[in-house]
Parts: sequence; structure tokens; C-alpha cells
Amino acid sequence: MYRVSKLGKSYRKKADLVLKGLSFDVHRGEILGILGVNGAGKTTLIKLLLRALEASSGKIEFVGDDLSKIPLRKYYKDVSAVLEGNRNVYWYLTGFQNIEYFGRLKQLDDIKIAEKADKLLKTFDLYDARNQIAGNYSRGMLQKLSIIIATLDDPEVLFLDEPTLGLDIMTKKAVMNDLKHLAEEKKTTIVITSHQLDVIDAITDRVLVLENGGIAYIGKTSDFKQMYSENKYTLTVNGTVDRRDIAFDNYTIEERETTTDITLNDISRRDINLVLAHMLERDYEIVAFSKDSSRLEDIMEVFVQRDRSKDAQTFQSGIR
Amino acid sequence: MLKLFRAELDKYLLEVKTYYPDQIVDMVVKYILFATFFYGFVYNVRNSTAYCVAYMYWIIASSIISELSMSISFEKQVGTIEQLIIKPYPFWLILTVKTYVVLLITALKGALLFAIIRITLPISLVFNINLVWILLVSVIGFTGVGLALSGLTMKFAKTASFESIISYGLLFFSGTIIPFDKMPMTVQRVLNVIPFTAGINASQKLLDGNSQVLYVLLWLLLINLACFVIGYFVFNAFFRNVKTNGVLNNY
Repeated sequence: MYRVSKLGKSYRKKADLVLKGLSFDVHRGEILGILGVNGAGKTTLIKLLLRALEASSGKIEFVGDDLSKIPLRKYYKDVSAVLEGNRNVYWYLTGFQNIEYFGRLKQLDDIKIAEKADKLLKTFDLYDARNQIAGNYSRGMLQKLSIIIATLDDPEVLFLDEPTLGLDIMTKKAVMNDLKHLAEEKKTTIVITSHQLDVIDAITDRVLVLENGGIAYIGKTSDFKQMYSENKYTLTVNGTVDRRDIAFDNYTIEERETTTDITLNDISRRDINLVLAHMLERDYEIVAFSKDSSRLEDIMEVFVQRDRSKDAQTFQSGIR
Repeated sequence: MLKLFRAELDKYLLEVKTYYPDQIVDMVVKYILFATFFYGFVYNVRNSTAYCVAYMYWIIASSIISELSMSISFEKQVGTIEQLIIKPYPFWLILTVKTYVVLLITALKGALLFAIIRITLPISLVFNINLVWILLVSVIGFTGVGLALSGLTMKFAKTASFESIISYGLLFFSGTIIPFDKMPMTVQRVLNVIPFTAGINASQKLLDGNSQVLYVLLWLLLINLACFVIGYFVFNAFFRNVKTNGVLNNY
């Protein structure tokens, strides 16, 4: 869908590059998550793909054509966005009036707007509030309304900057399901940023991790989790444990009311088998065994810490 | 295009309905301004219609110019501006249609205002259809000025001071304070190529019966189109600038 080559962006001073020579592809019908710490350039990247910002260098191709040469009136028929930190709706209009206004700006017919609005308002559980002034909506309701407006015309590409911010658990789940449905059924390409990594984890096919203006990782979300896993395992056994029965040195132990948690740090597969066999030989009842770094949130924490410890080491060696 | 017009018209009518006290106050202020300030001039001159035309021009020109830049300022403030620029209609066109919708409502308010003026103040006004054509042509030029000022607003967010200078500048040169023929000859020549003053001047000459309609309209069309083209390019230059510097959403 998109082919990005050596994309760079700086604001005012050319030396202050926010994004430095990014090259990547976005595939049709995939959900791509953009990750990175605050100020990593996630929103800038989305706005460059949206052409709400002009790139300082590099090239973006959209379906094989140079994006900078595609007429905006054509491009904006194919893409929609919900932008974070912005108001995407007018507060003095009702929910439906907002949908109608933005639908007309998308050149949709009133009949189609009404039909789609009805369906989406029901899906997002906003139907009963459709005639209320948007200014009276909660943050979650406003967010839902913004997503309804953005998906009204079944766009080819949907950009979502923090779309689930302020949503309750049920609504968040519903939004996540709808986004997955859009990508799977309608082959909508979705580019999403979110600090709620459970959302990224649950719906993305691939992630792009931005770091210091460059791409630190791009690939399958599952591969990213595997790559930056700490190889940390937690073993829960009934009762207390004699430390001499743990056939491994690098561990922490936490006794609970009836069970004991043993966390095995940076352990190889071979050593896991040894530890488990040793415990079973001594008649310990193992009630749970898990690799704890399966959540993207944990992985990102490790990833960011890895970077910081690398910086700290560089700093230390600089002092020496 | 019709969809865009309907979208903006419906939205503006809802805005008027929501904030209707503001509309009433606006009309009262304009009436008071006319009655207390301009009426003194009108009362002492022979052709009161010419003065009223100049006043009407000022209301319309300042409405268009201020509406265009205020729209951008408002959209920046509430954060909806980026949603407007990512729509299939060009941003300048959305703003222009938005302004013409406001102008349409302003014109209706203006007509109501003049009806009230005629009923409540002892002045006689003459209607000449050619004045309408001149006004419509002049709107093209006003839009150009408005677009240029909108570009400035896109970049600097708050441009009320620029707007005041232009608005009061137009008031001064409208001929309602100092008649054109009392101004220095050089100033008169310059004012004849500025759409706003050229429009008023042409209207006054037509009312005096000493001008050819077609020639006047062609000349006005030429300078108004030039003004629009300049405004359009200034707007786009600022638009590119804010997209490069990433300040579109700053307020």
C-alpha cells in the first residue's frame, strides 16, 4: 500500500531531524502498530503519511505512485484519520450532525450517510446519544464518534493516533474487534499508534518501533515479542521451597500464603528442564509455570530499558 | 460543490441557532453605529444612498475578511483544522464556501438592518440593480484579501490586530468619513485600483449617473480577479509553509 524510502523530517532547523531516513512498507489490509517513547516521532510519521505534513527528504509511494504527486482530492477519498490531541468533532453539533457534516465533506450522499451512521452508531453503542450535543459527550463517547466519522466512507487506509484513549474496557474491546473486522473483511489498511500496548498486542499484524528518529524494529508483533523476551520464567509450587532444591543460581523467590513463586532469570531451555525435573524428583507440586514476558507491555519495557542501559554504559565509558 | 455548500450552510445555521444572542447583538451594534455615527454624515449630504452603499460595502468586506481568518483561528483553537485539511475538497475552497455562507446570512441581516433603518430613520434610499452586480464582483476581491489574511492566521494563529488594521483602514477609505474627491489625487488614483474602494467609487458614480455600467464592471472584474489570484497564492504559500514547519495545529 505504501512504500517509504529514506523518509526524513525536521522542523525549522535542518539539523534537528525528528525522523531520519526511514524505509519501510505498509501492506494492504494489515494493521501496523507504530511504537516508541514520547517524542519518538510517531505522530509526525502518521501526519507525513497523511500529507498533513511535508517531508524534508525521502519519498512515499502510495499504491505505486509518488504520494507527493497524487492530487489531494483523490488521496483524501481513500484515507481517513482520527488524530490524538485534536478535537475531531464540533461540540455545538449533535453526534449525528457531526457525522452528517463530515460525511458531506467526504462527498457522501445524505442517504448513504444516514444508513452508515445508523449502523455504526448502533455498533459503537452511541445510537441513543445521536441527538445529544457532542459537548455533553464523555471522552470515550467523543472518541467513538471520531472513529465512526473516520470509518463512515469505508476508507482504504485508516490512521488512528491513540484511538482507545479514554475508552472503558468494554468499549475498548468493541473498538478493537471492529478494527480487526475492518482489516480482515474489508481489507482496510490500518496504521495505529497507542500507548495502550494491550491494544497494539491484540490487533496488530506488525509493529514498527521508532527510536532516536530511526526504525529500531519492524516486523511481526509476535517476532518482536520473541526477540526481546527476557527468557524469564515463573514457577509456582504448593507450600514452601527449600532453596537447595532449586537447581539454578539466578532466581528470586517470593512466598505467598499457600504457594511459592520462583522466578528464573535469563534461563536456557536446557536449564528449565533440569530445574523442573529436580523439583518433581523432590515431590514438589507444580501448580503453574509460565514465561512471563508474553505481554507486549513487558517487552517494550525491556526494550526501552535495554536502550537506557546501553546509553548509561556509553555515558560511563565516556567518563572513564 | 453543492454537498460542500449544504454542509456549511446547515452547520452555520445550527451555529447561528446555538449562539443566536450574538447575532442579535451584532445587528444592534451595527444599527447603533449607523444611527449615531454615519447618520450624521448622511443627514448632511445630498446623496444618502451613496453613503449607505459605502457603509454596506464596509460591512460586507469586513465580514468576509474577518470571517475567513476567524474560521481558521477557531478551527486551530478547537483542534478541528487537521480534519478539514484531510478532506477531498481543497482547504481554501472549504473556507471560501464557509465564508460565502456567512456572507449570505450577513446579507440577509444587512437587508433587515436597512429595512429597519428606512423605517426608523428619516432618510431616503434609492435601489439600483447595477449596485448589486458591482457588489457581487467586488466580493471576489474581498475573498482574495480574506484568503491572504487566512494564510497569515494559519501561521500566526491570532491575527486580530491585522484584521483591525484592514477593517478600520477600509472604513477610512470607504468614503464615508472623508469623501473620495476630498482626498489627494495620488490617493484617489491608488484607491481606484483597490477592489473595495473602486467598487464604492463605481457605485457612487453610477448613482450620480455619470458612468457606463459595462466599462465599470469589466474594470472591476479585472482588478477583483487579480486580487483574488494574489490572495489565493499567498494563502497557498502559507499553507505549504505551515505544513513544512508543522505549526498548522499550534494555537
